[in-house]
Amino acid sequence: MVYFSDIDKAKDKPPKELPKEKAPALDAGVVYNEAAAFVKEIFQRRSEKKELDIEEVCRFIGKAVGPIASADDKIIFLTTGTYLKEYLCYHTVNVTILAIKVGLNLKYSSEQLVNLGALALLHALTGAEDEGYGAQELQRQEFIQKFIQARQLKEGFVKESLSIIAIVDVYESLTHMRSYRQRFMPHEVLKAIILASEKVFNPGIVKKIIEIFSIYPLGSFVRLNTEEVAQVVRINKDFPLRPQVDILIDSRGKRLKEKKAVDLSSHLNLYIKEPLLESPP
Amino acid sequence: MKESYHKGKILVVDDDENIRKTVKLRLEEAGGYQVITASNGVEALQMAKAHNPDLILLNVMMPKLNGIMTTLRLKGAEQTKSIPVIIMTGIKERDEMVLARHVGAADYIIKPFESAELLKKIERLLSKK
Repeated sequence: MVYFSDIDKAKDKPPKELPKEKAPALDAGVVYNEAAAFVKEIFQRRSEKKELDIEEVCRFIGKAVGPIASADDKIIFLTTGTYLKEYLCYHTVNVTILAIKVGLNLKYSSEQLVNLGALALLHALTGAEDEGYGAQELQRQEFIQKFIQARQLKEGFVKESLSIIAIVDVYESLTHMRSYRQRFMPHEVLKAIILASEKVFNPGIVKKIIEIFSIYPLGSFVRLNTEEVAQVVRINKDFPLRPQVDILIDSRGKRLKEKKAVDLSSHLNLYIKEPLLESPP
Repeated sequence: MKESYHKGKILVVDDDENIRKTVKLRLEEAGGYQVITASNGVEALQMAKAHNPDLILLNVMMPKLNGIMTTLRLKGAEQTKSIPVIIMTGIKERDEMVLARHVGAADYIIKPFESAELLKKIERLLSKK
């Protein structure tokens, strides 16, 4: 059982400037694919031993932040997709998108979102080289330090950004399969992150991350107390354990001809009994 | 290992019995430590709570609960959150080392490793306690 009251409240933050011009809502799939194409190109160039152009990374993030911010929550659902081939590439894309979404939830300004997104991309990207771990880690730190200096980022912002990236990195990695291990269920990973937040993570950021990812992520399947099987279609930020769902299979195990939409936050007799690892047949 | 003096109690967790035995022997004979072992993450969590070791040496790749999730759970439990963890990993799973650092592991070591390297890491961490 996860107790949200266990999470310390975030420190009060001064209001940060919001992007003045809100980009029009874009199709999440298009935004995701464009980000994936950019990262794949960077990986390709890295495999050809070409230098990583940090300014190019910043320019791309500058262009991508608006669309990622304005894309609906479906883009978070897209980050849950299964991938084994090119997993480092998709991992980099997912960590960057999720970090930007967390920054939005923390009311970061456009400039802060760009810096956070670029840090996330550099963090994930530079961890994917062929050198040994020590060399890899040195290279990661070197790239990140160069970026921090070039952008003259303040220590507090960098610390908070790296905290966001660390949690997102752990969440994304553990909820995806690798060739050498199985994945864990999102609720298992979130529960472990919540419990470890006092010792390891920033509890305020963990709280924001739960609001975004939800214990029951978008698109995941759950069994209700009535034995009906449903898909999570919308997260209720004030009631993370009570999302909006579409019931697909009735209590006798029969698939419904038409899905039945239910908002669990307004049907208190219904609740999620357990998350399901796979989609129903 | 005699019951008398030892430099500290170490929990070694690996699903490979040969590695458990080898590491245990080396830490006892060359390091003077008392060593207890577990063969998976779930057992490691139980033993850590029951025996309160000074340090945990944890393999990253294990069935059921891997080293990263085990570390996360150790850091989330009041009784075990302050126990330093060293993650053991193979070269193929080196991506997991970044995660190990994120979830609060104190250090890592890549298999195969020399006893001297492991003992140095253990001594450094225990001297901080």
